[in-house]
Amino acid sequence: MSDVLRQRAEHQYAAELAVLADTDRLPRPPQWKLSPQAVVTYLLGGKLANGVEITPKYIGNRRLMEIAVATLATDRALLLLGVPGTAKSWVSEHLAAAISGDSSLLVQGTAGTSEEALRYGWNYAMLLAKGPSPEALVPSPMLNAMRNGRLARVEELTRIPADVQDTLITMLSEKTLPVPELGIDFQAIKGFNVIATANNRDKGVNDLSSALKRRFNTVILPTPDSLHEEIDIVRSRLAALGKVLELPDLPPADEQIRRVVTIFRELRNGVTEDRKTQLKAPSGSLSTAEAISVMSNGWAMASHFGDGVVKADDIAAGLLGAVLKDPVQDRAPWQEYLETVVKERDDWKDLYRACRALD
Amino acid sequence: MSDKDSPFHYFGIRHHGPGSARSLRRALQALQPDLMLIEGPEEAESILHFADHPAMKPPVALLLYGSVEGESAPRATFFPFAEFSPEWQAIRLALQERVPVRFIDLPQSQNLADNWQPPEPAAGETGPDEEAPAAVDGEAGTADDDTPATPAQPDPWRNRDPIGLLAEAAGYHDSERFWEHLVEQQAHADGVFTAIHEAMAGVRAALPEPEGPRARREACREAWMRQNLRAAEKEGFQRIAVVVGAWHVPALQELKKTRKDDAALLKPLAKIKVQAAWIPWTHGRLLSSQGYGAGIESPGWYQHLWEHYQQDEADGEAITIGWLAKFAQALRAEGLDASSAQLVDAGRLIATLAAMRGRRLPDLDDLQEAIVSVLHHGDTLPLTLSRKLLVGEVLGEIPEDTPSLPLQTDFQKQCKSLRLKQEADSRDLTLDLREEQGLAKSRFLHRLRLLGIPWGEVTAAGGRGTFKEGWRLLWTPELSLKLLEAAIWGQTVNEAAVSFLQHRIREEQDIPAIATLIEQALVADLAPALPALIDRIMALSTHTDDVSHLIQALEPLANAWRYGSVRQTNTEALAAVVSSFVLRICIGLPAAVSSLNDEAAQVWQGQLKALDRVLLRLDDAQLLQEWRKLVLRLVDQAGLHGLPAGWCCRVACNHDWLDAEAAAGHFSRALSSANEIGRTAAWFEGFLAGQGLSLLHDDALWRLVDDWLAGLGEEHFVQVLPLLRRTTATFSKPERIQLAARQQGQASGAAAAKAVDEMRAARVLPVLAQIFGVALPQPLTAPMDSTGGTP
Repeated sequence: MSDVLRQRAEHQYAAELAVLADTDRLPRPPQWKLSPQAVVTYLLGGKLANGVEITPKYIGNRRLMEIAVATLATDRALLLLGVPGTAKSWVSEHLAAAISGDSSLLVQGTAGTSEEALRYGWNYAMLLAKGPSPEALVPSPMLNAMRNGRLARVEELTRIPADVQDTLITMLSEKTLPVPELGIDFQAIKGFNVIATANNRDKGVNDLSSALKRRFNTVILPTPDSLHEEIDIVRSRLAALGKVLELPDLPPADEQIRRVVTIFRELRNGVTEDRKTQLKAPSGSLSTAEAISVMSNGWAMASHFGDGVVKADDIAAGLLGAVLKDPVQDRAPWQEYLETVVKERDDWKDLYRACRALD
Repeated sequence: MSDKDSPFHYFGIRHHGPGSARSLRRALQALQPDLMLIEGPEEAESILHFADHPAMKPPVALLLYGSVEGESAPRATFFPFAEFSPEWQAIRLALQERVPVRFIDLPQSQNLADNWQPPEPAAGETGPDEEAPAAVDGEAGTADDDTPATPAQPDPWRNRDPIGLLAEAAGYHDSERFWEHLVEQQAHADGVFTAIHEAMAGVRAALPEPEGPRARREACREAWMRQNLRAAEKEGFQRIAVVVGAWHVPALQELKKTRKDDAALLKPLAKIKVQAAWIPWTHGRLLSSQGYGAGIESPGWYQHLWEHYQQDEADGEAITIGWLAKFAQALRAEGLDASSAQLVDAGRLIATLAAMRGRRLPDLDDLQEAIVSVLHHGDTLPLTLSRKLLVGEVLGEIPEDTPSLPLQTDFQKQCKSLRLKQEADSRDLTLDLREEQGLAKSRFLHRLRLLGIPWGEVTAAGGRGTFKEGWRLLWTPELSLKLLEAAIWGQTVNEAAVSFLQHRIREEQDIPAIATLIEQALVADLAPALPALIDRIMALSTHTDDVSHLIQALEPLANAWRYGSVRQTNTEALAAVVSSFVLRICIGLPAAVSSLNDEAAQVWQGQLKALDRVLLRLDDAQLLQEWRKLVLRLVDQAGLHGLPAGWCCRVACNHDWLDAEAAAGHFSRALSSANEIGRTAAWFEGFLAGQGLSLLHDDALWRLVDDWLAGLGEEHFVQVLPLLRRTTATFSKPERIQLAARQQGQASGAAAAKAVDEMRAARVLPVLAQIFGVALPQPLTAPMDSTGGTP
């Protein structure tokens, strides 16, 4: 294993991708490494005809993934929306890895993202020395994707200022990128497309113009449907994460995962899993991703400071940090939850004590 | 088919499945049968030939009805057909090709009779099943119940939804979609039917033997069908097409062994007298959510599919584009974007999706998901919009010469007993509601109005009081049509009015409309519906912030309350509604009328007038007290538009809620020169517009205005004059003349004597004195003296 902290999807799952490409007999769109059906299989997991097991990357509604993949096969771009932690970036990375074999063509959207990041910049030394020439051009990931027929990814599209966002319109509709300084334009090779992700929870960011919106097919990724599904997600991601972080192997902490996920779901939905008690919901989004980090944090605690078994004490600190996003406002719902729900559950006594001790 | 020599060709279909209809049509055309046996009630055979009538436009339904002595409402069931129903296509085909058609299901004369009552009342298991039709007024629920189960009843074993079981086995959670993929969307050949029969046989064998009266009825139905099959075989037909619900096919294939049992089973059945009629139907009533056992979820989509299935080869792209275009138009009508470019993109996405999912034709989910993703940016579609398209509401038509419907018969009967004639000339009628006959007539006419058959218009009653009601009757041909349409709601005018009212209660969102319904229900003597209406209006009014809706609703409510006593109905609940409405209005009004522009002020002026009128008519001390508080508050409310402010002041004066002094104070304050001139004029208008007569006859008012006018400085007077003119222009001409006259008359009180020129008169006096031979009285000469000095 290399020393890279987090490998790109196409490297981490290189073996699976290779097997899929090997067995895939269905027609592939131009420049695609896999057929659309195989991409869906790669995402959702399953057993291939030759007995090779593909691990699920996304646990959830198959039809959503089908729409996402089918969109990329048309000439519309894909916009993945969802609250934080619904695996938007995760799905986008794996889509790019499976389809183009390259998930690195990434533009991270921030308030400071400039047009150069989406189009091209200049190598000023060369520009001064030789004057404007194609060699002096510094291509953006978008331009690279266009020239090679790959998928480009734009993370957090709505954080990019509106006027910069609109640079995408020409690329998405005309599939060209003009360079007026040189009097040339780059025309996209077949296979080029864009996956953008955006958070549909926070307001106050730059909403897409309707012209840009029209170039995207939107897929909204929901929070996991059932407790069972969510536990599966946390468990599988945790295992993968533990391997990368080289955490000492621990006995499976299924019971703790179940408790953390239950707490997250109950607080997020404002009602207990048995749907008998109404709860106040705290302000945080309490996503699955946060549940994963609470668990991995607990794992690290248990292995380095604890007795090697993830216990209530190990997860309590992380839990508090995840729930109490606003130290004033969120305290009341959390206290209420602790006293009315956690305390009442017979086998949760240890967790109750651990949480009280931290307060 | 197991037996090659058998003359029978079975076609197991799914009721209202367009794909089924299409496969069936093809198979029948290939088979060229010499007899067509269709699952349907025997009694309807006599009117079957109307199906081919050019004026017959589905959706239509066969109505089978019969009355039982001692029951007020007739028993009835419906057999609806949409254009895409396989049975309908089979009937049409047979009629066109002149093939004899027979309905082979158990006659409704036996089905509607008391044959299926549980032997003991304690048979709990069958309770819900038997009640289900009653819950929907005996309609549609019994029409057919073999194939799909209603989603409300989740246990497929109990309801024996065979497709549901198969779908579950195949990993579909929705039997409708399963059938659509496996049967309706497949290229069709005879093979489809064979496969369905085998599947059904498998399901039937796997299910436990059902028990209970419902199962007995099913057994009888199948026995009866077998009897019919045997008879047809005996008559020597060679190629007999048997078109029945897929579920029944396995049971109809074995004819020899069951002969004896069938005869025994069918012998003891009781019968009632039953008649059949065609009635127009709607797509909305084909929905399974409407309580129709064999209902479907999206008639609009099926109709769309059927239109495309007419082609030789169903074209997936054409289906997609057609559906997208319909949706886009609906979206645009709602004010949402839907450009053609987006449709193209959605079309591409759908094609890719269908290819990925290995489907030749897209299904409804594919389309809807793509529409959401491309046209609606991932958000769920507005419910009303998608519902409208999925239902694709259509009203069927039937030829005029079909046998008359029970509703028509009932209508004629009532007309006769009430001595009302359908005349094309208008006729006036005054009803005395204290008389039995008068009340009955009024009730009848009101019920018809409620059903959307405005035969009579209520005119102003001739006499005083509320017990007289004036009507103008005018029968137009369209009304016959409307009567026909109303047949869907029930067998009698009364029943139809009740179920239509219930339907409206469920659908209506508008508070004034419900208030009107309450009034209509009361005058139509449908008081049992009142509690539901009152619940509904109360629920809606709690959530509304719009005071004007409440005011609009108040008038019909108050009318209902007032007339309630004449019609011997209990109106306590209504009184509660009215007073809660008045309270809510009084609380919400001050905020609602603050900051109005001229236009809105006009509207609110009308609302306030209506409110005053209603409250005065109700004459309820407590409500008037509330009203008084509100008016006085509005008079003083700062920033209120002049028009309502002036009007409120006027109303307060009229009711003596303000004494003359206070009124004068308000008047002059409102019209003082510090105020903006526009507001002054509006106030004056609100105060006096349309009040010409009161101004003439109310001395206090007259003085108030007069004093103010007289006290105006010249500059101010010139300023307000054109604005005052605007108000006085609203008075009628005679009023203005009289007002002017009164003004002059008042002036003459002081100067009447001066009207005669005494000086000149005095000159004549000596001559007159001479003529009459009298001496001039002294005082009269005095003026002469006083003026004598002047030459």
